Formats: sequence, C-alpha cells, structure tokens
Amino acid sequence: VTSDLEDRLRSFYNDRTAHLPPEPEMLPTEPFAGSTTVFAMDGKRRPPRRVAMVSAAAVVLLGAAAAVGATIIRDGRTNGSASSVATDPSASLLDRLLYPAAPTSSGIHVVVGPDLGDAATALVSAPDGSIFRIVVNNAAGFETTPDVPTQEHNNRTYTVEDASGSRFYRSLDQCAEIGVFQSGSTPAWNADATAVLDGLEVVGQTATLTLPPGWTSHGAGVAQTPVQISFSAQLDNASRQVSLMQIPNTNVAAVMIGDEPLVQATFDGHLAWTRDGAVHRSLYWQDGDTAVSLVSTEASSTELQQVASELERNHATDLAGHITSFDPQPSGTLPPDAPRSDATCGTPQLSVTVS
Amino acid sequence: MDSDEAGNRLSDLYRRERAGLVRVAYLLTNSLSASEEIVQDAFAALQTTGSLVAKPAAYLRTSVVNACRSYHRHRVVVERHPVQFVEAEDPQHDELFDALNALPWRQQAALVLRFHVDLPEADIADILGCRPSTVRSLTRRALATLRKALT
Repeated sequence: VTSDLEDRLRSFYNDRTAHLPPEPEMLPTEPFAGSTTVFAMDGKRRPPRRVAMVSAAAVVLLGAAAAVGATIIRDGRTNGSASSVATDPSASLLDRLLYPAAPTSSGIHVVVGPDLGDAATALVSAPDGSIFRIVVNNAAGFETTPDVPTQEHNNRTYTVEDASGSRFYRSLDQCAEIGVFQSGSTPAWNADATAVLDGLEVVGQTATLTLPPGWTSHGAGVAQTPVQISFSAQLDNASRQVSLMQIPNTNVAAVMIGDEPLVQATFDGHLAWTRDGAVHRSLYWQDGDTAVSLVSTEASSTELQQVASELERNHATDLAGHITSFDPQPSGTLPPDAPRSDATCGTPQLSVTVS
Repeated sequence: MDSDEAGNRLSDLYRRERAGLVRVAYLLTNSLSASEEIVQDAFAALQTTGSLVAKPAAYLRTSVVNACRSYHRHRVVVERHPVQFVEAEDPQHDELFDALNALPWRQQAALVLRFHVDLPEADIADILGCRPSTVRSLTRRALATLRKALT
C-alpha cells in the first residue's frame, strides 16, 4: 500500500509541476555582474516591499556609506548623493562599530538587517565552564518536535535533542519558544542544564533566568538589527573572505547564530568565544555595548584573531573607495512572519540574575 | 576567488538549480509567484553571503524550504483572519491535494523532499534541522495520515 501511495505521490508532484517552465524563463544577460546587481537575475524588478523594514540602523549606515562615497543601490535604483540620504542623527553609533582595516581589506560589502527584534538572547556559563546560549522567540508558527524525551522544569515542558554537538533544550507554548543550547555533548538533563531550566521563569514572552552563586552572566537582552560587513582580508600570504557582524546595544549571544559548541577563550586580553564548526570558524566577543562576530570558511581560528585585531573604527577616512556595495537586506520580499501576540504575550524579553 | 569567478559560479548555479527550486517551492506554497520570489530571494541571499557558503546548492535548498515555511506560517495567520491574501491560482484540487495540505508543514516538506526531489534522509534532516530518524518519523506519519484520508 505504501509503495502505491509513494508512486502516487511522485506522479502527483510531477503532475503538479508539469506546467512550470523546465528552464528559467529568462537567463540573465549579466548575471551577478559585480557584487551590486542583486536583483538582476531574472530581468524583473520586484517591488521594494522590504525597504520599509530597514531600520533606524540602516538609516545610520546609509549616512555612513554616503559619507565615505559609497554607491548605494536599492532594488536597482542608485543613490550616490550624500544630500539625498537621511542625515545621521547619532554619529556616535557609527563610532562604536568596528570596520575592516582599509589597507589590508578589499571587496567590502555592507548589509543591514534583517531585524532580529522577535528574539531575546543570553549567554551564561556554569562554575565548571559549561556554556549556555538561551534564546526566547515569539512562538507564532513554531511546531513541537515529535518523538524526543521531555521533562518538566519550572512549570514548562522541555524537550531535548542533539544539535550539531550541542544539547538543545526546547519549550514551546502559545506565546514563547524557549531554546537552551548547552555546548558540548553532555549528558541530557545534567546538573548544569537542570539549573538553567529550573531557573527560567517565563510569563508570556518575558523570561527571567535566576542562577545560583558561581554562575556567570555574559549578557542578556533583546536582539537588534545586525550590520554585516563582508570583506576579503589580506593576511601574510593569502587573502581570506570573512564576515564581520555587529549588533549595537545587545549581548554577545545575539551574534552566536548556530548551534555548534562554543568554546570560551581570551582574545586581545578580553573574554571571547570560538566555534570550530564543520564549515565555519567563528570568533565572538563583546565590544562595549556591541556584540561582534567574525565568521569565515576560509580562515583558521588564528587567522580570524589576526583579522579581528586589525579591525578599526576610522571608517570615514580609511574606508573611502573601498566599499563596493551597500544593500539593505536583499532577501526581503517574503511575507512577514506571524504578527506578534503583543496583547497577551508581550514581546520577547530575557534577563539574567545570579544569586 | 575574484568577483568574476564568483559571478560565473553563481550563474552556473542559477541555471542548474533555479527550475528545480521553483518546483520545490511551488509544491510547498501552491503559489507560483511566491515560489519565484522565494527562489529569487534565496539566490540574492547566496550572493550576499558569497564564499561563506561551502555547499551553495544545499544552502539554496535550505533557504527555499525555510522561506516556504515562513510563507506557510504567514498564510496560516492570514487565513485565520478575513484578509485577502491567498492568490487565486488554480491548484489541482483533488483528494490527495487536500490531504497533503492538511498535513503539518514539516510532514509536507519531508514528503516533497523525499518523493519529489529524491533526497536521502540525511540531506532532508539537514534541511529541516532535525535528525534522520525524525525524517523517517515525519514521513511515516505523513504516509499513514494520507492512507487514512484516502480510504
């Protein structure tokens, strides 16, 4: 019976897609020419629906890009005039961001967004060094995970799964999805994990984590709009493509996207965290109020540290002529996710208290 | 890799993968315009991430399925409210179509990736962000539900 049904499914899918063109309707004449023609692939221009989603941070960066003479392209429209972009009302924010070192960097590409405001994050470590990344998401649209072990902690049901070498504890109700990543393949529900899960008090989308003495909080709060700068860094004998992501006014956990294990380290005299994943190497740290990540598939962890040590703040002068493109979030024409249930659930919040 | 080389590689990828990705998106959204837009966005995102992506075809597939999920989530919400959003396209409404659309989204995705794209369980697991055993479970449950609905 199953075989018949599988065959019927295959036929159904083939029939359903039979009317679709077998090849792209129009191949681009100059596909991906340079790095600025983001929307030229099918010859069609899409309505700039997501432009409205570009946040205040984008306005700030537009001002910055204009200031350094960059060409700003949105949905194929070019705007290179400094006078036609919003004036920067908070230049001090720019001064808090780090930038590639101009003499040793090229192909600089700046992307702002997408807005991460539907989530709150925190990073804590146990007395034995075990690292936990905690994420509070708006629950709208999430589904429960079937066939995984569960336990009750602080009036919530948590599931546990393996996730790329980390333990992933998860709880979902009508308001919030609580995700707790414990780095490393530790036994499920071990004492450290239990301390975190028992310490999480969740009301609506507001989570408060209270931890016993000896634990360390490395920051908690709402994720904001990221600024991502991709560039090629020239090291001693080779160039390495890296991606620098910064989120002002948030905690370092917000940039730790992914679930591979984190390792605490010291970088340039400061606390940092690294990931040596199957594909990417990553370095994360907190630069004042700004969460920073450097990610690369090409650079080693040592090389990432070298790139990080050469980042600088003098963007206005040193970056002139080096920025090759500046796009608002380019993949932004999808319908927005489910609206938040603000009335009953609030918005994602997360705070940490160590007793 | 310079920009010309990157552009050529992306161009090849676009020629090779676009039609198949649109089909996957269409089966998961039932909207051709949304599918084309989703695939377009996936390529745009790939171009932005550039050489950070080690397996671009897999990245595209995952991007498209994730975007279809976002689309699906939005539709679920929209359909709860009296807002005109769903396109007036003409899907082949038959009992299998209705039964498939009644399945939870992850089960729908697992079936499309297994029986239309013919991906192995491990690849489907990567796309759906779960274990291969979960893919087996999703597929098994989906087929059981379909069998029940079609008898």
